[in-house]
Amino acid sequence: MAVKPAKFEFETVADLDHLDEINSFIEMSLKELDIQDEHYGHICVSLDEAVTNVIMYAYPHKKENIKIAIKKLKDRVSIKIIDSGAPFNPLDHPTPDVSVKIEDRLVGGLGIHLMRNMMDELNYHRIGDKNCFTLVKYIGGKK
Amino acid sequence: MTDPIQFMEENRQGVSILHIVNERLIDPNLSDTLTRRLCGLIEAGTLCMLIDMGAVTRISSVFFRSFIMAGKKANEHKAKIAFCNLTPLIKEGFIITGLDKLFKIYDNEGKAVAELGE
Repeated sequence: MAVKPAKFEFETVADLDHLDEINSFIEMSLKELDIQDEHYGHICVSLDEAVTNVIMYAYPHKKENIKIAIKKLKDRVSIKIIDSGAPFNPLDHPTPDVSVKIEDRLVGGLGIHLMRNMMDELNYHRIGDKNCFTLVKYIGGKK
Repeated sequence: MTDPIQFMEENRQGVSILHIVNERLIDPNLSDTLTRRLCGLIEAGTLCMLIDMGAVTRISSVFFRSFIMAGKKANEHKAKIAFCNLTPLIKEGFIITGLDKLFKIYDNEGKAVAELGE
């Protein structure tokens, strides 16, 4: 018999006032799913970046909701972040050059750079009027 | 609401040590405060600053941005900024974002002050 994946979902207003609440949900979910050590840290950091992006940029006028779904499958954790802001693909952001001297360093693009390095897959889809950003971490080793 | 950013400051052997008290540096609003504080210290004449990250377990990229901006300011003023007591996760963030090439990182405060101090 197939094992049903464990899944947690949370939806709230995409506002900095709800950041602690969102973090509590993420940490609780990962602990319940028994995600530990390095995987836990990488997922938390990546979700901090993805969630903050939505909060800061998805709704410049009236704040609407952010939905987070965390699912554990056999060999991976998949996290889906959904908002109904203007179409925005974070993967379009160019990779920053992190090798240059301080006077030449640009300060943008570090969040997506961290996500690209700490997660195994990042996918963006526009579905209807929603941005759907999926982050995947292989917990049985990188594919 | 997240806690406001908190620092403890001390001076040892000519090294201005800034202990960041917050466990989490995630809220982007706090990064502006951090940038202002770091740049303010440099503009006020601090020549050697050590940032103790020992209490910090999570950090987001907006704070790396603060460190880069402070590093630019330090460069203009011929000052130095270094870091100590990074957790493995935060050190990994420094390496991924190239901050380890911009700033000296010490295992602990003692080693940092011994090398940076007068």
